[in-house]
Order: sequence, then C-alpha cells, then structure tokens
Amino acid sequence: MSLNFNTPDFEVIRNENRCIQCKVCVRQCANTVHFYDEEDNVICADDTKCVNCHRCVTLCPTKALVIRKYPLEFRENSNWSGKVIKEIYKQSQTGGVLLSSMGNPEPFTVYWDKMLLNASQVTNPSIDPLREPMETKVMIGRKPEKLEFDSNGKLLTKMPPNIELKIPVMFAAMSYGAISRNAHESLARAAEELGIFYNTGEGGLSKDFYRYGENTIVQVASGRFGVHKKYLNAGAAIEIKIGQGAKPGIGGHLPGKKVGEDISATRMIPVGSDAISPAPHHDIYSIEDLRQLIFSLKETTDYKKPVFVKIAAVHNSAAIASGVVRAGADAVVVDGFRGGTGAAPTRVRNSVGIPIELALAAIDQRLREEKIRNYCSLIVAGSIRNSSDIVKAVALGADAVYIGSAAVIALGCHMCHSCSTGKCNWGIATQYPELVKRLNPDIMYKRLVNLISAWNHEIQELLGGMGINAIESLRGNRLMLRGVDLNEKELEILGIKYAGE
Amino acid sequence: MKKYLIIGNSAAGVNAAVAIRTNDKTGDVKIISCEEFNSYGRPLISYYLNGKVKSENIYCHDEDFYRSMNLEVLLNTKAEKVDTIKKEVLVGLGERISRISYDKLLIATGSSPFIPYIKNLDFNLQKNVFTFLTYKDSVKLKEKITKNSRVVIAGAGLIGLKAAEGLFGQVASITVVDLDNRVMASVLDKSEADIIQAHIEQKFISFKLQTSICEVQGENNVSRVILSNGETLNCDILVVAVGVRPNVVLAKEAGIKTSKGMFVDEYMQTSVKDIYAAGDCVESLDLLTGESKVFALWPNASNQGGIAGLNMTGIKTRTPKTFAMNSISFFGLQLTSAGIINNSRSIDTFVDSTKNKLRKLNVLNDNLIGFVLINDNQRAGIYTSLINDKVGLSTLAYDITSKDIGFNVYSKQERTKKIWDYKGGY
Amino acid sequence: MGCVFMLCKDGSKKESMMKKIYAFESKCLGCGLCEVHCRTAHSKSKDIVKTHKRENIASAIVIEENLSSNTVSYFALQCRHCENPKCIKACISGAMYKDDSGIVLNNKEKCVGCLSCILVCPFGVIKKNDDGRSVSKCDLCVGSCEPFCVKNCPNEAIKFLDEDGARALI
Repeated sequence: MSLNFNTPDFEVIRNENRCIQCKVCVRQCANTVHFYDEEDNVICADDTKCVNCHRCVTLCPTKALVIRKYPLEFRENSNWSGKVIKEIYKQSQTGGVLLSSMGNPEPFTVYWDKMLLNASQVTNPSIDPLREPMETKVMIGRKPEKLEFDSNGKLLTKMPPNIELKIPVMFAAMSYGAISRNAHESLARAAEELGIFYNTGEGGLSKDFYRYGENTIVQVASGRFGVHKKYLNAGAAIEIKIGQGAKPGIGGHLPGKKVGEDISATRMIPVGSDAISPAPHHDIYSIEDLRQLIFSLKETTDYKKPVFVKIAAVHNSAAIASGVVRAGADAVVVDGFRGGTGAAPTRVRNSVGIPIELALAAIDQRLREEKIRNYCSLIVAGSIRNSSDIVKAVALGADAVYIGSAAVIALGCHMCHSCSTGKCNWGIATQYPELVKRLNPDIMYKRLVNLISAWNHEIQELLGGMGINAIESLRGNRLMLRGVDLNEKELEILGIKYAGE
Repeated sequence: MKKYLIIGNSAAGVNAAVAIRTNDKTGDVKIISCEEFNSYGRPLISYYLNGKVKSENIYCHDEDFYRSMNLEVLLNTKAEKVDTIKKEVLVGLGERISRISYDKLLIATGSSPFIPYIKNLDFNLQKNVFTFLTYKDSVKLKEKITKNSRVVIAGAGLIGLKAAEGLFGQVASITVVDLDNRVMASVLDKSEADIIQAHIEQKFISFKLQTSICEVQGENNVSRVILSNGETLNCDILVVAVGVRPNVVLAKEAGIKTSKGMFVDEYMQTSVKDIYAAGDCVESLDLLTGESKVFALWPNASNQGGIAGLNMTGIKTRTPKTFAMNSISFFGLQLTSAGIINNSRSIDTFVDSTKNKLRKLNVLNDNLIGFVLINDNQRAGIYTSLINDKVGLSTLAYDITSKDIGFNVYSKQERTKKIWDYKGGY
Repeated sequence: MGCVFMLCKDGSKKESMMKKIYAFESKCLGCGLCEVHCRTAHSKSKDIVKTHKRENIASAIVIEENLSSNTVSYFALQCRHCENPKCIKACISGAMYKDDSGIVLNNKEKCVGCLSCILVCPFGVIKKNDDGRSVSKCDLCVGSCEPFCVKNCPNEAIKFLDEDGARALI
C-alpha cells in the first residue's frame, strides 16, 4: 500500500550538545529507532518505530534523550479523538484485530483512590510497628467451620491444606513464554526470599524451576500447556484459570515465534507452533464440571495442595464466585478489568469486565450472606498499585492480592504497552536471547524483594495507625474505609460509608 | 655463590639479568657494556633525534633499578677475549685490561652497522659521515646537523627511513638512496612499499632507488656523493644505514660455533658449555620456514635474554621458535607486519586496501603465515597469535580474510579459555 | 612454563591473587557504556560530554559482537594483566611495565606510539590513541576502589574479582 496514514505516536528529542555519538541508544533499541549516520557523524531517529519504552533514555550516559508525545494534532473533537482516528487508519490498512498489551488504560474510575482509610485517635491508641509486634502473615485455603479438641487439648479436626504467606502479596500468573526465563527466575527467587508465591501462568514449569516449587503456584488453563502429574505436584498450590481480567471470555495466545526449544519442552508443543488456549475449558460447561476438575486435581495431588480458581471480574461475579466455592475451590481469585496481559484484543481489554473493587465487595458480601466465606480465601488482582491498595482490598474483604503489572514494573517495565511485539527492550516480555539477557535475575530479584519489603513496612504502618496488629483482623472490616466522590450506588456496592458519616 | 657475566647491556642482556636475579637472589651478576650509556631503548634513537624523546627518557631503567636488583654494570668496557677453559673474560677498560671470571656467561653483543665499499669513504677522516645504530650515533648526528644541511641517507630500510624521519624538519633536504626498487625491501613487497614511499615523499623527502652510492668526494668532510647511475648529489651529512651484521668476532675467536650469528640450542646455550647467547648476535629457528636466521628485533632479543637468564640459573626453559615481526610508524603512518609477507605462488595472498589503509594476509594450508597492516593495526596482535599458535583457520568462527578481525574469531570455548587461563609468555 | 617473573622493583615474584576485571558474556548487553565510562575515567575533564567532544581517548575496554547461527551476543574484553606479558617484552621504550601489585601499565611520558605492544598482544586490547603518540590500555582504574567499567555496567556483566571469586560465578 503506497499511502500510509499512520503517523508516529512519539518523538525522539536529542540534545545534540550532549550527544556524544556513543551509539548506546543505537545498540539498545530493539525497535531500531536510533541509527548512526556515518557520513554526518550524527545519530538519527525514526520516530515511527518508537514505543516510548525509555530504554535509550535510561541508558544514555549523558541524558541527551527525551521522548515526547508526537506533537501532531488533529482538529479538536471530543468524539473523534486522535486515538480513535488512528485506530481506524490502522485497521483500514491492515484489516486486523487491534492488539494491545498490559491493562486497560482508559480513564475509568479508580475506586481505590475514592476510598480512604481510618486511623486511631485518643480512645483506641494506634500501634507503632517498630516497637510492637505486627503480623502480616496470612493463610490461604479453606478454613474448617469449627475446631474440635480432645480432653488433652489436642486438635481433632483435620485441617484442610493451607499455604502461608509472610506478606499478603503474590506474583500473578505470567507464563514462561509471555515473559522471559530471566523474568521468571527473578520472580521465583524473590518469592522464595520473601516467603510468598509466584505463579507459573499457563505455560507450564521449566524443569530448572522445580527447585522453587515450595514458592510456586502452578496454573492449569484451558490450553493445558505443560500440565502433567509431576507439574501439578511441583508447586505449593494449583490454580485453575477460567478467566483473566484483561481479556474475559477469551484464551491466551502465544505466537509461534516465541516458542523456542525450552518453551517447546516446557509447554509440550512443537517448536514454532502457536500456543492458542481455547476460550473455555472444553471440559467445563457447568459448576459440576468445574467441581470434577477441582477434585481430579486434588486427587492427583493427594489432597495436600489447595486448589484456587481464577475468574475474571464480570457482571455477575458474586454468583459465579459462590458457585466456585461450592464446587470445592480453596481460594477464589478475582481478576479485575485493569489487569495486565501480554497481548489482548484492544476492544476486549478496554471494554470487557468490571472494576476489581466493586467485584471484590460484591463477592465478599455474597459469600458472607451465604455463610460460605470461610470455605475459601479470596484473592484479588487487576492493578494493585501500592500498599494502600492492598490494605483497602483487605478491608473490603480480600485475604491477599496478586500483583503482575507492579512486579514487572519493578523488573524494568516502562508500560509501553508493546509486549505483543515480543521485542521488549527490558528483557521481560520477550524470548530473543539478546533481549532476555538484559534482565539480570541477580539484580532484578532484589528489586522485587525491595519492593515487597517496602510495601510490607507500609502495610504495617497503616495497620498500626488503625490500631490493628494483624492483617487478618482487618479483613472485611469495611468500617475502616470511607468513600469520597462516590454516588449512593457505588457506596452501597462497596458497602462503605461516605467520608464524614 | 654463582657468578654470572653478561656481555651486552641492551634488551637481551638486561632481560637476562632480571631473569637471573628473580631466581637467584644471591648470585653475582655483572653486565659489561662497551657503550658509555646505560641500557637505553635502541629503537628510540630516531625519536631522540627529532626531540620526541628527551635524553632522560631514553633509558630503559633508572639507576635505582640496577641498585635494587643488585646488578653490577661496567660501562665503557669492551670484552676482548673469552677464555673458555679458565672461564674468564678479558675486558678492556680504557687502557687497562682485566679479567672477569664467570660460572655462566651470556654473550649478547648485538650487531654493528654494515659499511659497504664506497670509494673515498673514511669514517675516521670524514667528520660528516655517520652510522645510525647507537644512542651515541644519534647524539653526534644531532650535534652536527643545521637548518641548511643537505642530508643523504644510504639505505631505505627500516633504519635509514627512521633516520630520515628523525631528521625531518631540522635540515634543508633529505635524499634516501637504495639499491633496491622499493623502500624496506627486506620487509615489504612493492605495492606496500609504494604506499610507504608515497607517504614519506609527501614530506619532501626524495628517493633515489635502484642505485647506490659508489663514491664520495671531499677529504675531511664529504661534500658530494656520486651514484652508480651517474647522478651527483651535494651532501653536507651522509648517513650510512644499509644494514647490520651480528657481532660474532668475540664468539668465533672463543671457538663458538657460528654462521652469520651464533648457533644456540633450544635453551639458548652455545656450542660451548656454560656460554649462552641471545639477541641480534644469534641465529634462531624460524617458526614458519624452519630456517636458521638472525632476527634483529627488539622483542626477540628481550625474550631470548629472559629465557637465557632462566636457563643460566638452572631453570630449564625452552625457547619457542620465532618469526619476523615489525611495528613501526613513519610520519603518522603505521606499518605492522609479521611472518612471511612476500607474495609467492604457493601462498594465498588476500589484500584489502582502501585509501591509506592496507591489510594483506598470507595464508598457507589453512594457516596464517604472515600479514602486513598499514594504518589498520588495532587488533594486529590477534593475527600474530594466529601465526604463533599455528591456528587452523578453518577452526575459527569466520573467514579472517573477509572481515576485520576481533577476539570473536575464536569459539566461545576457546575464547573463554584464553581469557581465563592465558598467562603470557615468550 | 612453570616459572614466570615480572619486573618488580624488589625482584620478587608475585603470586598473590590479584583482582582483575572479568566480563561475563552471558550477561553482556553490548551497550558500550563501559567504553564511554572508560574514556571518561581516563580523561582530563572527567566529564562525559567534554571527554567525547574535546578529548580524543581510546577506550581500553573493547566490546565485541559474537555472531552465532541464530543470535547476536556480545562480550567485553580488556587487558588480562598477564603474568608474563608479551607487551612488556616488546616495548621499545620501557613505557610498558608491571607495577608492584601486578598491574600492567603504560607510562604515557615514555610511550612513543611504536605499537609493538599492539603487535604482540594476543587479545588485541591495547589501543592506539588518535594522537598517534601513545596507547591506551586497561589500568584497572588504579586509585579508585572499583574500575569505572565495572561501576557503570548496567547489567553487572563486568566484575572486579580475584580469580577464585570469578571462577565461583561460572
């Protein structure tokens, strides 16, 4: 096609007074934006290829680079914005489905930011976590309805399998394939050091990572990639993935070019073949079918491991969660519509699903009403950005959270939303060896440890402020939350009072 | 306490002394030198001539070095005779003759300028004729030249051309005469020599090739030289730099087996027990041709000296075979060469040249056997080690004749081995 | 050859484990930042921009591309500070020497730029400076606690370790 309507999204600004022609940017840009013009001894840039990942900006030794939004404007029009127009240009040129990565970027309300936490004053003193014990440990799994002891005080009740989290945060499912081996290694090592868990995602578990099994949650998704008995027994818990917040209703898709030797072996598919997960599990068409899968997994693992079921936050999540719990799940994972992904159709990512805050409140409420809340743990995911989001989630009723985007940001992700190209300049969402190398697990696992440790300190501070000395005591305590800038309906669903009430 | 005696205080001699002292802390180490200066960088004399190297920087080591190494150096001392039976060397110190006994002797007497027959030429009489091999030559020459001097240099080899470079800018004119059809004939083929020559000619140094000086005129000073082609050149300074000959008279008289240079075994020992030899005065086996020949090269002398020293202390060390190697610059043009660089029918020659740059590789049966690099020598040492280690070119990561070489020419395994285990050597 | 010696002033043999720069190929990104910081560390101005715009210094660390069948990788290389360095033997001016701690150094005052050292260095890691009068080589940034290439490697691919420490990492 000779006429191309596409214009750059970003502009590379180079301060020539500071550029020393060292070519670090040229060598580091996998999108080949920067190039060296030998004749004129200058570095030039092809703006059309820039995804604004900041790799060049970060590595430029003289800080000579700035990336800006491309200043080209369309005539102002609130309905037909530049973004909408450009999407039409792109689709009319390619005839393809628009693909996006990471989570929903649209300006929907972030309910975390509309909720405020309480703090103790005078009557019930706050606690200083630096001076007094403060527990952030949580147990994930089914809890018995009551405990029975014999006359000697020995426990008679058979305890269902639970896993212990030192901090109520886990690394969300990101498959080996979607993210690199080095990224996986960083997550695994950090989980081990922190006493938490990372999740294999739906790509199976490379044999080199079995050593991190005690801190691994193995996932079973509709594609069943890399699922076998040894795999199921390798982790501390099993997660059945029904849906994903970024793309409810559809399955994962790993392009064949990302399927190299090791991924092929791990996923048990031929090298170079597309790994396409079906939209549904073809053996689950009812809650009863789900129950069968849950129990066949439990059977395989000798009832020693909790089984989680992960669903996307959609319109009737509360009823679905109730069914899932009744089907025997030990934990329900709910993934909100802002959850990240390596690749999803833009329309699905941006317009399917509901906010996690509302889904969480609704599910917790429903399970309590049905008196089955203690049958399972509730884990939420889908854009948990910081420690106060976690504390608010726990107050709304969550046991723990999963973080995906925040974890990859700690690993260097600059949210350029280009995972689907496979050319992640930070070595995260790529399988090109020369790019994977850029993520050195020795360095990066420490960043994850730092992040979660810092959050843990903050969680303790916030709990202490509320006069609470264990995070489990906060769970579902919505009195600790107040809403601002919310309407009556929103407050009702969230189950919280307005600030000042 | 062992007595070590070293005749010669240049590259071979000093390196031998260091090697001896490293392994024998108590032995008596004497170095005798017929020159009046302490060990200096002989190739630096042209840099001294043009002022690039100051007199204080020409010395290889400071006084402290000899003291701390406990080396006794006798300057202005000429070895006259070696008595191999009594194990003594007769030395002349001015008028006085004395004897120095030894347990182990190293002869590192180097070489002397070769003076061809030129009618009327008399170094004793004529005050403006010079050779160019020692620091003293350079000092004397520097004193003599003026802005108006018209200089004629006999010999367009390495020494002649370095002399020309040293004199450049300080004299009125420089003419270089050589019998061959090209400069540096012993080191370069015509095409490479032409690049060098053209570069030097830019500095208004003129060449008279394929001719020689057959006669000089003038009694106390040479005023004119007559060339074999009939041309006559006015001349205020004549430098004779047509080549060098190993200094082997002393050795011959002592009954040491000698051809052009002294013969030594692989432990640098001569045909006479306890007498070792190293440097420009010995013959060594060429790694590439197997021939026995004299390598008048600084690195070679340093290496041989070091090895001779080790053997003299009783640490048996074999000398590796060597090959010709040169690195030299003329007016900013860098010439690096090693091994066999002539074209011949049995050798595959690969030349890659652009303006001012040249890379020539000579390949024989899957081995690199020689190279010439002009202004393109940043990684020359990798080629040198391919020659030295006789690396099969087919085992390398790519065809070295098709692109610039790098350490990536070795496989990862080989590369890693070298990086981790290489210790250097001779 | 079992025995080696070096030009220590006291004539003693050094056997202590000296720290060297080790570049780990599996981690090297080939970004070239080590080269930039090497030049800057050896400049007069110590300012990256000034060094590269006004001073002409050759980096003593070399980044090489390694072409294998299906991927491109890189590795950094610099002076190995050999026990028995060929460059010192070849040096005509006495500019190349080994200091008491075993570091091979080039005295720019004495160097005449004959490039004999370049001719014999099997790693090809001595570089001619553009002034044509001297060479650049790795001096392990003597005087600073860590070489600048090590300090500034974004991926910790270059480490300053003794041999045992380095071997422990592979």
